[in-house]
Amino acid sequence: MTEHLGRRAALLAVLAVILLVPLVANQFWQGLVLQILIFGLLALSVDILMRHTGLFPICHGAFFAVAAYAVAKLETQSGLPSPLIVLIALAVAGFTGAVFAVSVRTSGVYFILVTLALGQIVWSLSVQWTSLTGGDNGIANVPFPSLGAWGFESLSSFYYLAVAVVLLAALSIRRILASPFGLALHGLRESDSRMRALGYRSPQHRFAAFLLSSLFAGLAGVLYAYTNQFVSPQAASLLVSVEAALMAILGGAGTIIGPFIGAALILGLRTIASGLFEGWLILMGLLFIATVLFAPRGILGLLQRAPGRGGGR
Amino acid sequence: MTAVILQTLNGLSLGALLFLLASGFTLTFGLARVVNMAHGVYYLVGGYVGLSVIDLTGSFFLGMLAGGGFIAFINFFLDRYLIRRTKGDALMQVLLTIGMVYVLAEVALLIWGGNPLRVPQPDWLRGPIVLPGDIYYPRYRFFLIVLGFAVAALLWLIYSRTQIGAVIRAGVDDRTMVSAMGVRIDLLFAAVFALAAFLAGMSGVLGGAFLTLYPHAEWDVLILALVVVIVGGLGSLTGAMVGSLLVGLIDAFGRWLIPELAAFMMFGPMAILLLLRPQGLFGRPH
Repeated sequence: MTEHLGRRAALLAVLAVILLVPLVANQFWQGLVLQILIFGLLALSVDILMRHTGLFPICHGAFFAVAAYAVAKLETQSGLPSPLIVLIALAVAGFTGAVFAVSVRTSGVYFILVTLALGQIVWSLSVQWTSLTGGDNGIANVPFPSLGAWGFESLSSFYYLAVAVVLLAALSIRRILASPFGLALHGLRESDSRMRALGYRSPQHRFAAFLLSSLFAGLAGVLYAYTNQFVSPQAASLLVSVEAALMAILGGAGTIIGPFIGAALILGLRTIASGLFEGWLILMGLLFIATVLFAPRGILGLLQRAPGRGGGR
Repeated sequence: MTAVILQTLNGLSLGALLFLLASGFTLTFGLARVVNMAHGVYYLVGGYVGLSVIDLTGSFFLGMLAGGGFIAFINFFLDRYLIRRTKGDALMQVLLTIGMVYVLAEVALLIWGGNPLRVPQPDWLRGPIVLPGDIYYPRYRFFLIVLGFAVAALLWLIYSRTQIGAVIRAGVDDRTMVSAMGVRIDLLFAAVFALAAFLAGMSGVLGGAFLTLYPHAEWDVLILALVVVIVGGLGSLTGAMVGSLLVGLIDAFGRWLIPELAAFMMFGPMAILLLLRPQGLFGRPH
């Protein structure tokens, strides 16, 4: 009980810090916090599949990117109201997810390789289809969202909206995973045959989970486009998909907060390291390797078994 | 008509290169269930090492040997001290080997720089070759097609006609049983891993001579090799042969006919194939 209270207090403290950032810190820090929340949400969307269906996707950069491109393209060229644009962007991400969901017909290694190859379609298109995406130059000067005459003027004002959206998204994911649907997914992961015997349709559940996951990845992409005001093929790169998975694993232990911890660690490390020396990707690579060898259950997993339990997995 | 023949040859030569890369990937997986995403970076680093050796010695052949040999050498240690510690967990293998990709690619960037480098073609392979019908085609790419088919034929002979091949096939089917029969399966694994890594490193030298070597090439070739094994079927040598040819040809014609959407030409059919046959053309159901 006290542990539970302690955790709740810690979460509230973190939330308070996040809310105070625009008052005390400059744009750089606001940007960093938003990136952590956005990529944390992306990692959480990966986690839905990883933790609750046992499938390991490497294509979420694609959903993230198509939604970001949709926002960038429509905001700069269409004049539609932002809420409509956001809905269209989510629909595009969901459609991509529905197409990529052919991958749930496979499992294990095959699923990993198939999603990786599918994700690269979007990356290739973002580079090759220059008339739509601007190629390597990307789409710049994406404005903050607006509705008629009313709109956000600066990052500091948009900040609170973004934080609220991420918070709501995280809470609804928690809600969904605790629902009968979420429990059914968990059951399918543990034993497909038993759940089938109980009358659950596993392919449909997997498809639904994949779709749900792609929608939340798309939502992260929407926030990304507005926050950075710029989208380029980098958003669709393999690195985004792989890092999202690593964030989810590094945070660990199947909690809602885990992927955000992972995102904070990785983005924090990158921000520090990329300023210090060339070749900082070496550090990223070493982090991947170290996570696999020493913390396959993530930081939270490490902490949980730390006191008095010692050794042995 | 000439254009169609030229694109076919382009497709075949890319396919030949992809086969060298994908055959190693697929054999390692078939035998040891190891998914090694570092095959792309093996290609890149092997190519760079070969390039440096060719600059030093002037011999293309030595460059190929050095590129392949160096990769086989480092793969031995990476496998022994890193990959093996994942104990067959596919997800962990993927993450670990992707970590290796970042480290190796970044080290290569620091050593060889970010500009595209072209491996010099040997003198006797420069210039065009004249094919029947008065078609001029780069001699080097023609050589690549011949080499690819030769290696494919050799691998197929070893795989299906020799004692070693029989043991490898048995190992793919049931590893425990093979080692229970008294076969030193660890030696066999080591040999196949070394061969796979050698082919990957060597293909970097060969590919670098017409595609150039550049940062990010490690992902470009890895993705193509993955499509090859997904289409052909993971673990199947025949699948790697057929898959390489298909991917090579689709890539060549896609770039020629619809350059903006070439990626769709490649991945669209792959997605449809997965719907109909999730295990790939020659894979076994899983």
